[in-house]
Amino acid sequence: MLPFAEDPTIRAARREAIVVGCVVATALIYSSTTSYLMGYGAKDRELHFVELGWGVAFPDWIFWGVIVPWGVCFVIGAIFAFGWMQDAELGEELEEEEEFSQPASDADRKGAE
Amino acid sequence: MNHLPSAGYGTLLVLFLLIAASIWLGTRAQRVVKKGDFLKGYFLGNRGLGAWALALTASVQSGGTFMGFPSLVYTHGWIVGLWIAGYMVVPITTFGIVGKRLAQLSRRTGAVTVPDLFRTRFNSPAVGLVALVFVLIFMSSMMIAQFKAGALIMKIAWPNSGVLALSEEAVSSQLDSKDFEKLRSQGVPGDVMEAAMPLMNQSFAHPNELKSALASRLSPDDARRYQAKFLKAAEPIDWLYLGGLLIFGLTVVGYTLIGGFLAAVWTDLFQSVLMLFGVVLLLVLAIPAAGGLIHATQVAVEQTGPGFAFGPGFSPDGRDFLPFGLAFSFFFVWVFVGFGSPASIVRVMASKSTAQIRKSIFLLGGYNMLIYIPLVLICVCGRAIIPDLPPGKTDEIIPRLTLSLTAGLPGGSLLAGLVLAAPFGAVMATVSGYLVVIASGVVRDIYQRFLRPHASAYATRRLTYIVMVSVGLLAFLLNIYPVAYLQTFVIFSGSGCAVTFVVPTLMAAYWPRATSQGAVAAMATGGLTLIAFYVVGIFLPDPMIGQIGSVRPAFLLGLEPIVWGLAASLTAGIGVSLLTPAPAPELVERMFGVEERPAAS
Repeated sequence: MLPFAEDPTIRAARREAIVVGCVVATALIYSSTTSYLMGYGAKDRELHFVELGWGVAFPDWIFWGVIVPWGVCFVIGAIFAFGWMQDAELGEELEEEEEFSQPASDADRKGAE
Repeated sequence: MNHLPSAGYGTLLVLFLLIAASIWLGTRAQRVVKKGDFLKGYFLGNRGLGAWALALTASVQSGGTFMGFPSLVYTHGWIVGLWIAGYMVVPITTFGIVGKRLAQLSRRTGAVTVPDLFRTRFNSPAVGLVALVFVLIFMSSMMIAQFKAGALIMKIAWPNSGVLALSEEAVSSQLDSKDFEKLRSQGVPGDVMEAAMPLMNQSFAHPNELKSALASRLSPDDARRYQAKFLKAAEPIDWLYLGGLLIFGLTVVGYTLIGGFLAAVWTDLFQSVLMLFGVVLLLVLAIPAAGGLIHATQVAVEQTGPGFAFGPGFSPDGRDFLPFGLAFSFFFVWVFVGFGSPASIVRVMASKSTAQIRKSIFLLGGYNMLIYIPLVLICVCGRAIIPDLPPGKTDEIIPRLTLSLTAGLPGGSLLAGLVLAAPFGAVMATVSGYLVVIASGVVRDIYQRFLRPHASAYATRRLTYIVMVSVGLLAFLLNIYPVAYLQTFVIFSGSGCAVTFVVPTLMAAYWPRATSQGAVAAMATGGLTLIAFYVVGIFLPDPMIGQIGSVRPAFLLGLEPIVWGLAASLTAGIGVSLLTPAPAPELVERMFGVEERPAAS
C-alpha cells in the first residue's frame, strides 16, 4: 500500500500489461504445442497442405500452428488498441536540470545566425 | 550454380536515389532539431513521434530481416515460420506492456536516453553507468554486423560487373599458408588440415572445384563439417564488397550526423514502406515462378529431405534446427527483443501521445503479418528457383532472387533496384538508429553526466559528431573481414538487450519497491548470464541444434540463453531489491504519485 495516491495512468497501464501478458502466454502455448504435435517428426508423417488459392499454400501444421494464431493475435491487438487500452495524459516534460544548462558559445551564436 | 544476371544501371540508380533521399531527410530533420534544445531534438526528436513512425520504426526490422532471416528459410525450410512466430505478439508487447508508462516516465524524468531514464528513475548514477556499458556492448555488436549487410547489397547492385561471378566464379580460389593458419585458429582439427595440405597454393577456377578436391581428400563427415570454412578461407579479396562498405558507411554516418534521431526515424519509416513494397512485389513474382508453393515445397523436399517441410527443420549437416525447446525459446526471443532494445525504448519515449501508441499497435500488427509470412513463402519458392546456393552464400538469396525474377521484365533493373533498396534501407535505418543510441550514450551519459555537466551546446554537438564518425570508422575496419551468419549476431545483440533491460524496465515502470541495487543486479545478472552462455558455447562441442555457424551459445536443457538470462535477471532484480533498503519515499512519490500541475493563472 502506497502512502500517497497512485497515478491512475499507472494503474491502467499495469492492468493493460497483465492482459497483454495473458495473450502472449496463450499464443506461446498454443502455437508451440500445436506446431509440435502436428508438424514434428517427418519420418512418421505425410505432408498435407492447406491451399488458399493463387498458388499460396501452407503445410497444415504451419497453417494451424502459426498462420491462424497470427491472424487471431492481429485481431486481438486491434481490439486491445481501440477497445481496451485507455488514453492518458503523459504529463509535462521536466525542464532540463540546472546542471545541464548549456551556455551558448561563440560558435553556437554564429550557427544561429 | 545457376548463372544469374547481374544488376543493371537501374538498380544502382535506385540505390543512389535512396542514398540521396536519406541525406535529404537528414537535412530536413536538422531543421527540426535546430528549433529546440540540441540534446532533446537531436537524440529524441523533441518527443513528437506519430503512430506511423512509432509502428514502423520501433520494432526490430533490420538487415537481418532481409538477409539473415531469408537465409534461414532457404536453408532450413518451413520450420522458420515457427521460429519467427513470436512476432505475432510483438506489437502488443512492444507498446502494450510498457509503452504508455515509459512515455510518461521519460517525461517525468526528462530523460533523453535509456541509461538516463534508469539513472533518474532510481536516482543512482551507478544504474545509468551499468545500463550504458551494456548498451555499448550489445548495440555495437549488432551495428557492426549490419555494415556487412549494407556492403553486400551495394556489391550485388553494381551494374554489369559480373559481381555474382566475382564473388564465386571468375576469380580463382586459393589456399595459402596464411589461410591454413587461420583455419587452424578457427578450430579445424589437425588431421583434417593434414589431409587438405596438398591443396595448398593450388588455384581453383571455381569454388566447386575446391569443393570436389576437398571431398576427395576428406572423409564425408569432415568434408560436410569443414567445407564452408575452407571455401571461406580461399576467397580472394573482394574489392566490390569493400567499395560497397565504404559507400554504405559514408552514407549512413553522413545523414545520421546531419539529422540525428529524426533522420534515423524518417529514413526507417521510408525504408519500411519500401520493404513492404519489395516483399509484395517479390511474392507476386516468386510464387508463379516456382509453380506455386506446393510445387516449390515438393521440389525443395526432393533436393533436401522431408525435414524441409516439417519440424525441427532440414539442415545440410544433419542438425536439428529448431527442436521443441528452441521453438519455445524463440517466442521469448522476439517478444522480449521487441521491447528490450534501447533503440525501441527510446522511440517509445519519444512518442507524442498514448493515442499514437494505440494506433501503432494496430499498424505494426498488420505490417508484421505482411512482411514475415510472405518472406517465408518467398524463400521457400527461392529454394526451388535457385536451388544450389552454398553454405555461407545463402544470405544472398533475396538479392539473387530479385535479380533473377526481374531480369525479363520491362524496367526490370529498376524494379530490382526498388526491391534491393528495401534491405539496403533497412540496414541503413538500423545502423543509423544504433549510431544515435551509442552516441547519445557517450555524450549524455558519460560526457555530460560525469565529465562536463556545463558543456556548451557547441561542445556537445562536436563530441556527438566525433563519436559517430569514430564508431562508423571502427565498424568499417571490423567489416573488412566480416562475420558469417549475420542472424547469429542479430540474435546475440537482441537477446543481450532483452535480458539486460526487460526486467529493470518492468521494475522501473511498475514496482515502487524496486531499488537501484536491484536494477543493477537485474541488468548485470541478465547481461552477464547471456555473455557467459555464448562464451561457454565456444568451448563446448557443437550440440547439433540451432543455427549453423561458428558462434553459438550453450543451450542448457535445449533452451536459448535468453530464457535463462531473463530468469536470472528477474530473480536477481527482485531478490536484491527486497534485501536492500526501500527507496526514498519522495523518489517513489515523484515517479508513481499523481503529478502536481501548476494551477492555471
